[in-house]
Amino acid sequence: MEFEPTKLDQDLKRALRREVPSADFAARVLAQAAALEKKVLAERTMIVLPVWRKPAAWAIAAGITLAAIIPAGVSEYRKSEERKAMQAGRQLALALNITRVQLQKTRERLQKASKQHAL
Amino acid sequence: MFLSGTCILLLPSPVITIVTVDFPSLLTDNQAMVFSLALRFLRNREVAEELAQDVFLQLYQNLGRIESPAHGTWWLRRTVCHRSIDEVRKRKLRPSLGLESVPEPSVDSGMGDFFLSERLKRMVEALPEKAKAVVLLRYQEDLDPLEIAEVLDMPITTVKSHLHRSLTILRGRMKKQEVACGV
Repeated sequence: MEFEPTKLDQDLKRALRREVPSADFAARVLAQAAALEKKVLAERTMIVLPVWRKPAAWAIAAGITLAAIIPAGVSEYRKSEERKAMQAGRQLALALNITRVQLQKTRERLQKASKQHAL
Repeated sequence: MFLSGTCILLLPSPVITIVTVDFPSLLTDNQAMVFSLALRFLRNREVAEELAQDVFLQLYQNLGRIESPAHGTWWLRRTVCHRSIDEVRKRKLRPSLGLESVPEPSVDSGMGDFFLSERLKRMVEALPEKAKAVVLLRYQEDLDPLEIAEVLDMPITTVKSHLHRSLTILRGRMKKQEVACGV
């Protein structure tokens, strides 16, 4: 039996007829498409979430707060140290003043004693 | 609605035609085509259904770019061919036929026709991927060589060459089998 191109063509067309997938194939694809749509919608909703529900917003807020607190703390510490230095300075001045008065009194007593001794 | 896309076609005449691409209709009209092409390449119904499902979901994600139902069919045919060829290369499938791929013989066809069809199917499945794609698009999808060239992104001369060589191979193998069987 000779296989003429036309006969082979016909046989191939018959052999390669389309086959149908399982009965629930379309339903499964539609369900998956719906799930995909839901996921996309959820992702879009995430974008319009309020600021306080986004972790990134919390991280940025924490960064800004730290950036504000640290220099303020440093400045406050410096002022406190300056206050302590001023107080120490005042105490030293007072002590020196007391010493000066005591020395003055001692010198006066010595001068008085030497005058009496000379007479 | 989420399962459809709308496209406005501006024709040369002052008429504006609105074409609605409906995903469920595209799915219903093309499921057999997509599944059959995948099945011929992958030779496994489950794997073929999985790939066909992926292709339809890919279409769903690109529905906005589909201009008409005919464009949708063309897009599906092209995508399933390329995806199937990639899948076969990835899996390095050898020409073998699982029992699950053999359909039950139909009541009205004779047993001789059934066995001849099965032999031919097996021979087509054993062809190299590109040649197989050309033969499937020619005989399963009834496309002409120019359409096949567009779907597979290959020059028309290559399509004709694949077709000619594949038919010569198939004819030779059929003859060889007949001689071996003493027909």
